Amino acid sequence: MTSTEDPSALLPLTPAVLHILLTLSTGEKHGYAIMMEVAAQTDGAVRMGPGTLYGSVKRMIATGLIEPVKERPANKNENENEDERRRYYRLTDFGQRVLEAEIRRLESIVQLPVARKLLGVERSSG
Amino acid sequence: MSSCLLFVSCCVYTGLLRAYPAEFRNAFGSEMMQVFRDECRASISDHSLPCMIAFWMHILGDLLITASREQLAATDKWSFAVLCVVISLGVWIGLVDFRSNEVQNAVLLIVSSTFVFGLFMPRSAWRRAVPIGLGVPAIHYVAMWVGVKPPYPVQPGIYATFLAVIPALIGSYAGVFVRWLSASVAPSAAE
Repeated sequence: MTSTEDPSALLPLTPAVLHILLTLSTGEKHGYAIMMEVAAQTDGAVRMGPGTLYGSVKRMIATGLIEPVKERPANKNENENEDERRRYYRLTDFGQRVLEAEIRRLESIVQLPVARKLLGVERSSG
Repeated sequence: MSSCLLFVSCCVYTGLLRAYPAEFRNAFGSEMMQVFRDECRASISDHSLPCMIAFWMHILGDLLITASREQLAATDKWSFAVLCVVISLGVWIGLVDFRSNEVQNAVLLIVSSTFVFGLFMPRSAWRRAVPIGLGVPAIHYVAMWVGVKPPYPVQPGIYATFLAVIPALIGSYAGVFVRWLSASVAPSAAE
């Protein structure tokens, strides 16, 4: 675990890691749910295979960004589609800080062309 | 029909999972299988062949890249050095074969090098033999791709060059056999 480390040391994040962190920021999820949500939030542009997903998950657990949930989340319905054997993952505090740092970094990049009027947006005179 | 297709797909993917290192497979294999089953079920429910083909292309592409990455990450320095030597040998033998019309030189090099690997590294000997043998078709394929022709009139078909794997396996397991033979003879000689 590297939870005491500086979050900016892990930046920039790979697209797969960023999308997994974004997905888990809304709650605990299992692998297939993560894949489906990533595909939905990118309009199908990012489609992770099982290898990409669990390769990223392995590295994210090793760096302390996420952790497996030991107990089954209480808010999950016990219906047929929810398999008992599924392992859920959640964001750690360190993962949350890394995600926030990455979003700030991306925001600063997005602001750059606006500041330079590259997108035809007038800089506010305030 | 769809349940049969799902069963066959899962069986194939179970076999393909062996491309990942054992440690990775033990940690995430069952979860990957579960995710694959969910994805496959969704793909089959579309009832279209193009959708199924696209699904398998996606799975195979993902497997090729991520299994290579995980294997490389799990490889220690010694194994990595052996892999580099094996690939270099394969490329060199491929070049020897490409430059000469006679196959004897290449076959001799393949058999002798894989024999040595089989003798000193008998465990999973095919892992060293196959890359050395595949060096020949790889060089012919690259030459064909970049438009370089061999310096002799009759060019071998690209599929015929895959036959180089056969002497590689023969040499390799001959080395394994000699090692086994010497190990079984040595104790009886000591008695």
